[in-house]
Amino acid sequence: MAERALASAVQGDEPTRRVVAWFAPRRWLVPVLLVLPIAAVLMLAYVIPVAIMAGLGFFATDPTGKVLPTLTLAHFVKFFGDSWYFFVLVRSLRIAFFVTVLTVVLGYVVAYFLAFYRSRLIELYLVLVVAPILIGNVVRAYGWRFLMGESGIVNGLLTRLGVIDRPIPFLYTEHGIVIADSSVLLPIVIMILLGVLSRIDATYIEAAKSLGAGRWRAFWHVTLPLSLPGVAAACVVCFTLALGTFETAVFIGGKRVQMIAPLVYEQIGVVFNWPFGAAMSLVILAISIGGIALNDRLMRERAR
Amino acid sequence: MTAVARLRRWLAGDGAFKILVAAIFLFLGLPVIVAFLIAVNPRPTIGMPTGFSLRWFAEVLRESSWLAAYANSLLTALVAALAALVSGTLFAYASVRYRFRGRGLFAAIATSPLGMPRIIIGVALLIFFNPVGLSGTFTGLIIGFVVITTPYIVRTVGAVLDVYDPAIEEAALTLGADEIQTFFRVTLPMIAPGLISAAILAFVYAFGNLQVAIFLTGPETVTIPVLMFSVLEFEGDPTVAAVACINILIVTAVILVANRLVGAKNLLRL
Repeated sequence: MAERALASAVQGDEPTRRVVAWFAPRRWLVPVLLVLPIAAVLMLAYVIPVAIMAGLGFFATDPTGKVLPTLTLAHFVKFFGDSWYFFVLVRSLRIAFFVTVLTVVLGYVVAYFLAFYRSRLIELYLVLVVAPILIGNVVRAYGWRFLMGESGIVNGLLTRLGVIDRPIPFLYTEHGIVIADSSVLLPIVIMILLGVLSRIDATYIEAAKSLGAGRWRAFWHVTLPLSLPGVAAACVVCFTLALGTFETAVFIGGKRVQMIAPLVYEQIGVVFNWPFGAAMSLVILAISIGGIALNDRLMRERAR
Repeated sequence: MTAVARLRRWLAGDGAFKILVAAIFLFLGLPVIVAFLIAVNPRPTIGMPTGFSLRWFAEVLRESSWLAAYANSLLTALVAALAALVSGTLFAYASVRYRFRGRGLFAAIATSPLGMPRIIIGVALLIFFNPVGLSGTFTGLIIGFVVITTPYIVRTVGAVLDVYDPAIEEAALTLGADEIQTFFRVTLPMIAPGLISAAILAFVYAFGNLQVAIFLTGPETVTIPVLMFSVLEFEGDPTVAAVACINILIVTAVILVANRLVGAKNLLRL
């Protein structure tokens, strides 16, 4: 393939030669032009909008939600001072924590299997991991809502097996959200962990085993330490995504067990109090950035 | 007795581990299976299936709001994936082949949407687009999708360019090709499988996105996830499960085509 491509390339084209000749004395322009499209998109549709959103969180509103030209910290005071909002934030952080623990542990098991077990079906397994991402969160969160009802499949099965005699409540509970959200976020965590585990040189593990370490010892002292950077990255991504849980929170938690992202949506899309919604978004953003920074810091210290 | 002993040895070996892995796969796939069961249940109540019928699929095809949403979703996701592919690839190429100031900063900004809840991007874009009349338009929605899919393109294409040997480019240049010819006739064909898989991922992520779309869609630009969500928010309807199954078919078709074009290994380099 490379040979054929080279052969066709050397034949030459008049117009491209002219373009190249024009750029020859202006070489610095080439990377600038290549970067320009993405720079324009990111500036206009990402950096500036997020900055404006952050700014809007400091503008006062009248009771109807109209933005007033006065600066204020009132939205943040309301958010952190009002026990209801603060409670929702703390609950969201708690749910995100448990989701992260559950998802990273389960994800590690699957990623370990995919990285180190030989099977003819490995490509099929990979597709099974990725397919749920592609099917989308709305469908999967909805599927869990159906599974978790009082007369849903999970309770029906457990009752029939004699494990429980009364249905366990899953809908409108925190543990219901944790279970469903963990299933929803699992594929992304598996892919992150797989990326790290598949880069570990299997000869290290073989060396440990041939030196007398059992399977568990080899895992505990060789594989796990080598994969820790990936585990940290998976934790950070999983935590921020779980903190922003939206579909699962609405379908499983409903109005009774609210989380922060549906609350933001309500302020922006229903109540139209944009500055307050922006202020809440800013708090989520700050927590996410804090998580990324913490991860970077830990990685750098480990590297030293 | 030997069978029990063999079973015990298998469990002590890696049998128990394999059962655990299978259970986690079930945990992953359960909600998808359930969506299928609801979709083929002939009864309109959401419950255990009592038979097999395709009436909800027919209902979807009759309902103009679902068809319009499919058209909107396919159009916006496709345009956004292509736009993100072009801008992301040019950047990934520039950052591998040229040294320029701010390279690392740019890469950090371009991939940062990955590490933050999507809802923030939706809120920020709505606030920004509303005064200029872009909220609720196709343009606004496509721009939103470009922002959230660009990180995947930059990462995937960057990874492909990293392993691609620059000596082949140098050979083309030495043999008399200019840089533009080298890019289009040597580099591009070599990295094409990576580009295709990146574009497919971008398309699929944009197609399934709710958290950005829910802020940016208007009455004329409703997408499939937004319509599904708004129907489900006010209690379920089996047609939504049928829509979910149709989405699964679309995704399966995309995966099969991608597998043909680039192979599963390339497709999964997320």
